[in-house]
Amino acid sequence: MKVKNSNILKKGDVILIFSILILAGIIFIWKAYFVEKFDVGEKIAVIMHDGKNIERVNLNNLNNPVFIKIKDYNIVIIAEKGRIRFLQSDCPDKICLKSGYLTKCGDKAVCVPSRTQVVISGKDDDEIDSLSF
Amino acid sequence: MKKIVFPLLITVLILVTACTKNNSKPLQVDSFAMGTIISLKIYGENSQKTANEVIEKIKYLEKLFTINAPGGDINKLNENAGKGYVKLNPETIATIKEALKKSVISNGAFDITVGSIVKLWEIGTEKARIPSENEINKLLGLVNYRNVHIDEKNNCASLEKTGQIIDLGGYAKGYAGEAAKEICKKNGISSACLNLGGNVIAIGNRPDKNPWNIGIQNPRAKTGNYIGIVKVSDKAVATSGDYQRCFEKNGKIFHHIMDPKTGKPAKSDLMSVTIVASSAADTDGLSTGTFVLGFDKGRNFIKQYGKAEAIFITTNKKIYVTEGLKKSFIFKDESEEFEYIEKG
Repeated sequence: MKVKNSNILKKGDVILIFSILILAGIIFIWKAYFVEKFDVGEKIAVIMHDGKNIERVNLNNLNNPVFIKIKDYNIVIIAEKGRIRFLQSDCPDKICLKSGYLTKCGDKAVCVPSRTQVVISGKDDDEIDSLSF
Repeated sequence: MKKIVFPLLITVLILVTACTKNNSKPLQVDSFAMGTIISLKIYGENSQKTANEVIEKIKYLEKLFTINAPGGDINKLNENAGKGYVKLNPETIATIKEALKKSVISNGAFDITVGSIVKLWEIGTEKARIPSENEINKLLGLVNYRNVHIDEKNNCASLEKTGQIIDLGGYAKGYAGEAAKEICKKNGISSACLNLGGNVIAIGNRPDKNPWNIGIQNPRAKTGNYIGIVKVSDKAVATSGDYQRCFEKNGKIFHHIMDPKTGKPAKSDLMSVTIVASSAADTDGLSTGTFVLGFDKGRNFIKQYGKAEAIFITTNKKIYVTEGLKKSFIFKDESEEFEYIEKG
């Protein structure tokens, strides 16, 4: 009796499966390690006021300081090469001024009374997920 | 055979390219509410819907609980102090009830009727000042959680004495945190880290299945610098410290955590205390009460309570943790000013 061969994988099929699996493996490793881990990009400071992003400043490209002013409590934020901070605020608690310079991705300073937040966005490579204060 | 091979391989490719992305990037939302910043980090499907619902809920609770803006249930209750029962929202009743439990177990070290004293000092506002002993003594008689009465059946509450003021500031974030957790559960969120002004609610684990790493603020450094990390899964973490809202007068610093017994900022031998518990409703309130009690009494209080763990940072810069945190707390002090004493 003649055995039908149609359900058995042919050599070409095996090669095809292995090549695509290898390709999938390469994509997986590339995404997991290179794209995710080294996707640091530029250091962008994002200033949020009243729930809206009002300014984005690329801190890597600054040669001269940039001042961002917010009417509430006469807030002035100064952005310089690689760093940004609240420079002036007439808010009651001054917690924003005490935050000092932000320099790393994920660094954040907040002025609750004026509903203003400055955060350096980018790949969050901090070793903590959140802060209890 | 090719009929099976191709779809199979395409599926593999799609899965490989899709999975890594979904797991690694959370939805991150920041918003201002309850006099603080709310930062939500939510993974998985429904994250946007969940974030919207959480923010909406917190803002709703803020309106009920605020005493810094007109309207709301707590204002209504305060305005009617000494005049009998007032009908309130069931959520307000539930919050007051839970907050009162913390007052009872801490023997009044945490007391929501401290509102009149908080208003007198006005720490955290432009009008912050040191009141006279006379002014403080006049109001101390109004601070007593036993004067809060609840009629749960009819959703009513009352304050016994005219002038009494409830301030839920030390408890509202805990209640809101629990409400936020419920919303996450309802929407099938299994991995999220919610931060309500320093009160952290860790839901499940990180997407990589490891526990969440929660930094504990260094009480003598700028916000963001931590003295250690506590690893948690499905837990809430809250800290009370002398460094957050405070003001300086004649070289002396006055912080915002009032001792209900003295009507003055608590003379605690703690710089901060962090509470870790299963429920956010347990952490907020307990952290305030423990801070007021100070290290020795606070440590006994947490031990007796039994459902919470704590990290104590004393004014002489020593750090103690309770038994249950010894394995999950990692001391990491870049300032090199603090000393980690293991025994809590």
